[in-house]
Amino acid sequence: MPDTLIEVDELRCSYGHFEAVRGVSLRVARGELFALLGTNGAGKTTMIEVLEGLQRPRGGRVRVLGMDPIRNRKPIRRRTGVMLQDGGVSGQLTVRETVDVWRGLTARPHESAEVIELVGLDRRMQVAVEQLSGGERRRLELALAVLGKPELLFLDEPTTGMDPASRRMTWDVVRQLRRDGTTVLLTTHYLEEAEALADRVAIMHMGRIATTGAPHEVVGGLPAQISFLAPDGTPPPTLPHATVVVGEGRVTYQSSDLQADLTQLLRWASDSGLDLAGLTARAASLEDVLIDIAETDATGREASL
Amino acid sequence: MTGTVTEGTLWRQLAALFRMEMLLLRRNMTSAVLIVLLPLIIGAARLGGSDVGADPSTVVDRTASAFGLIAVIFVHHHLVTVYATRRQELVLKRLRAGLPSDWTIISGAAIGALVIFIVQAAMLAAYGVSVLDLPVPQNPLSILLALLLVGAMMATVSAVMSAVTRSAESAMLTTLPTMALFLLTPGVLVPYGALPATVEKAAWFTPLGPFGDVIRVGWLGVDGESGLVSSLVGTLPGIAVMIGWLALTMLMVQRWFRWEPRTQRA
Repeated sequence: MPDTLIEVDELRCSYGHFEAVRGVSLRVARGELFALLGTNGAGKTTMIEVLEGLQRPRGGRVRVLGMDPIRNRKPIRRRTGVMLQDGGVSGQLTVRETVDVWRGLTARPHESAEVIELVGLDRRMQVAVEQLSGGERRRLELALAVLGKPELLFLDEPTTGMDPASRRMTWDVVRQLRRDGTTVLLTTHYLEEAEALADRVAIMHMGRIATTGAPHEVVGGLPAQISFLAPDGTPPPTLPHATVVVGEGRVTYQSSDLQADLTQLLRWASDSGLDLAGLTARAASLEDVLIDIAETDATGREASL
Repeated sequence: MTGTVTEGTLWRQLAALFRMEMLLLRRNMTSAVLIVLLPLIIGAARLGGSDVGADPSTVVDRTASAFGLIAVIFVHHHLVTVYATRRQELVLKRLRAGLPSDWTIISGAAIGALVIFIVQAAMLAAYGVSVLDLPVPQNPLSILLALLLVGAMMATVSAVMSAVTRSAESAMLTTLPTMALFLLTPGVLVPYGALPATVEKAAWFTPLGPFGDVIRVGWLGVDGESGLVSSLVGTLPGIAVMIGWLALTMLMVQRWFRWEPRTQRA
């Protein structure tokens, strides 16, 4: 049993002249939950579809469970579960019928009722798929992905467009599978999803992995943001760990030490008798990470693993 | 339940796909009427009523023509819509990400329509024997084989044509060229002898060209003589031509079949 379930070296994929993945390498170990983070068009779906064996790479080497995802399709599929970015179920079948049909297409499947309950659709069993909400539909697709008790699970944006309740439920299912030893590769737009679930995160940007590490490492190194409406006539103070930008009526600081800078700012405000309207302070978000990456790219420093 | 019983074998997968198609057909009234009821009515109309003194060979030709019409018009059109719709809903893509092989998915989508086609043919044959005084077929094996080959060919051709079919609605248009081509085959819509002899001879080598012959020889024997073996041998060349075409259309499927909509990656 290999302990590295996914190995990717210098993977390249293109559609016509557009190169969607430009030399990506990564490893996912058994039992790990690995998240590919990135905006639309970053190359996440292309990556995951290559690993699922749905797309042929143009270059590089890919091994899933130690095998080639296209040539060794059959033995791999018996051990993997897949949730596509969207679709895959006929709208006119009911939840129950869909799962029943898929049991016939899956090796060693769970009982239908068992997986339907796992994703919380037990009260919607007789409802046609086209009448489900977006979140319920995604949960049904999740049920199909885990039907065969997979060793390795691919989830392509499992919670995009979901209501908070569905998202929480999906997270619970993923956590439970993790506890049972399932290895998971998921893609997501949401930093908080990666933070909540992943052991390791890779941020993809324009077909490359820009940065990789534990979620807190990836985000932790980035500046936090403090912002408030610019007060009339008073220039904002200089903070020791921050750079400041004033624009569109707002003062925005990028701070590498949020607590120290915020303390100083509030002291300044209180000393000057100012009321800081619209004050917000938050840690870096995916958007910040991506802006940071884009700026790094622009200055010509090649980001790599 | 033991592991081996629930393994994803080919038959279990085909049964699951068949079940999916049947469930979907039950939900879709238009499709159900189009593929189940209408072909029987058209077929019966083609066979006509009791026609005392008619030459059995003429009645068998009419029966073969009825089988051909059902395959070319109804099975073909239905299967193009099936492939196009499953592709549009990304069902094909999702299936491909799972255990079944490419050919299992393609045949699984067609198997429902093929079963219906075979049952319809059996019903029309029974009608011919019981009402139109046709003899019992001498060699049902060749007849069944010819029906399966035509059905399979409709599946492969539909799979290829579905690549240029965006939705169920456009299937009527995209199947027009192939449908017209198959209908022109002597013995399908064009009666024998209507075309110049040389053209008819050449047409025998088209995909459905030998179909009428195989049905006639399978039903009545070679030159009206009885004997299962001589009838089997007599149908072999025709069966061989049809197998050749099936193999060719399978290569076309391998090359041109599309697993996901073109718009997927705008």
